[in-house]
Amino acid sequence: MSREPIKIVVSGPVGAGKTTLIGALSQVGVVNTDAPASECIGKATTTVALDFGMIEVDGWQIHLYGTPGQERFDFMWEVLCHGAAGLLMLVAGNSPRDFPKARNILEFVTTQVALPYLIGVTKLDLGRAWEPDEIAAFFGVGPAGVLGVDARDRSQGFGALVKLFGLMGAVSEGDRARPMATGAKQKTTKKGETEIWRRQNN
Amino acid sequence: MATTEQLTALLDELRSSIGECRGTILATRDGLPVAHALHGIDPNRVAAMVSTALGLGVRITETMGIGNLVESGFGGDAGQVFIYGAGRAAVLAVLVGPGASVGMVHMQARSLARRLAESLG
Repeated sequence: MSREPIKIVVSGPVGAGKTTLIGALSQVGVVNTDAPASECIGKATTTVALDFGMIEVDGWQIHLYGTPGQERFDFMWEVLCHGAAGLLMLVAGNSPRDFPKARNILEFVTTQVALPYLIGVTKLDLGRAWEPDEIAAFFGVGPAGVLGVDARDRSQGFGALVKLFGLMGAVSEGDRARPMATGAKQKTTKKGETEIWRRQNN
Repeated sequence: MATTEQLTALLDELRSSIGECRGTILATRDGLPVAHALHGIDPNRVAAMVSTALGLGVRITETMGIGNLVESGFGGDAGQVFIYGAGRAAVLAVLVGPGASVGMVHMQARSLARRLAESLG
């Protein structure tokens, strides 16, 4: 039995690690649309349309769509959130001035479509300005709605997905099926990951 | 590097040489307006959108194995928009009304894109 792919949007302000996270997670070559940055944003390139990656776990195909971070691309937030099941909002923990930008994106998206979301706090190794509970309060979520995540680390990214799925309740009781033989073309999900996934979602 | 006035003058040339041309904009590839001859349309918004369209177009032609992007286009029932790379760092978009000769638009716009790219240095 093949299941519908699950669409997850990865958003957040410039430099939060959206492209990096999708690159770390995707099992297929990522489609990205980087253009040279003409503003001083602390990096050479920036996403102008989307990033797209896929991951398959336990028979679920997860499609990851990364948005551009700048507000001028807000039309893409809208386009990419269409039909999404969940939103992973990344924000650099060492850059509190970007928190209002992240909240702005969150408000923009959630006023149009009621999406479950998880706040992923990145770059914590570069200095932590706020405590997790302060960040949670800022975004108006409970402590379970915030998670520290190293966007470069596949297993941490995967952990964030698992946690988001927990918030989504996307894998409902009635929808539970035996894992199908996936025939994945490229690297497959590690056994340990599948177990984490099942523990959380089944 | 040319001034905004010089770039706008180049854009105006195209606008006056193609009767159906309703507007042009030069933007950075990351979506900021550089110069424009648009009237009644927000250049900030259009700059972001045309850079998105170009960026996506580049990936689509690459993924579908049809080589490097030459232009990207959108047709409406009241006109067309064509989007071209102007050097590595910029995007040119040309808005034309109905009845424009597409071949002529492409020829002139590509030539303009080259001149703009040189002016940007």
